[in-house]
Amino acid sequence: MKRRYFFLILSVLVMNTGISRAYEYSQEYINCEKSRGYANQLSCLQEEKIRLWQRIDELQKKVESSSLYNGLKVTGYTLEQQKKNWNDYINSFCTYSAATECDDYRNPEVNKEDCLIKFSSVLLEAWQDILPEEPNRY
Amino acid sequence: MTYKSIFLGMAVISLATSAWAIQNSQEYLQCMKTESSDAGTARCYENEVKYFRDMAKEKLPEVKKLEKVARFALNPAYDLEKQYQAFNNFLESYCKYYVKRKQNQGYSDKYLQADCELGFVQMYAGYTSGLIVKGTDPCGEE
Repeated sequence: MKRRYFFLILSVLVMNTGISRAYEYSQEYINCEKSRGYANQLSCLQEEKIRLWQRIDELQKKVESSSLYNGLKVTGYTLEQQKKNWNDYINSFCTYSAATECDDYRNPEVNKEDCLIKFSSVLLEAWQDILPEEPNRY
Repeated sequence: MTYKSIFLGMAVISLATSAWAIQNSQEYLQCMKTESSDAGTARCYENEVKYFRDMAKEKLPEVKKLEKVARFALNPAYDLEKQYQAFNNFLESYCKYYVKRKQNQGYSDKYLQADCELGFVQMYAGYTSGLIVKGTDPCGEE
């Protein structure tokens, strides 16, 4: 029931704002789940996470090679450090979150992977927010 | 707060915590109503950021007590204080980037830093509270 509320609230937020969207799984993921079946969802999620991080890494390289980066570097932080801090946080948080999840249909590993994907997409969105030359979508 | 940080915060809170949502404190709303000076408004932000930072920190012991979470207690990778620190480290570096970028774009808003920080500390307080909600009543009412 809570899951339904969650999606309802999220949908309302998304409809109201049009800014922050729920994570949209890629077509590759959808095809993967269709072809491998729900029982093998974990491997599809792991591949989806890899694709997402490839996009984050590409975005990072793009920023680091741009003139903008010199300006941002004066803050004393690198994007690499920022990425590591986010990774440290989400890996720890998602482990806890998966452990407390109420879901009869999934196992904790699947929940954790799903959590990691959603939080990874937050980093992508946050970086895109400071980089308006990137289309603000994921 | 800018719409962007409010919505980013709310969307992530929803992602992380199901039905949990977090709101600005009454003190903050009242403060923003009564303060008209820049210094006064800055104080409202400052107090609100502190309010949510304290709220998140105060809730960590409650999370540790959760039966399902307790099994991670001996693993240093899942130390809650470290988790809190990692989040703060990210917040600090990201918000500095955010402010710098916005300034480069010509924004002169005096509250950009506090605004960015507030969005993130609200997220953190939301996640932590959400864990407690899920941990103590994982399935809720049908």
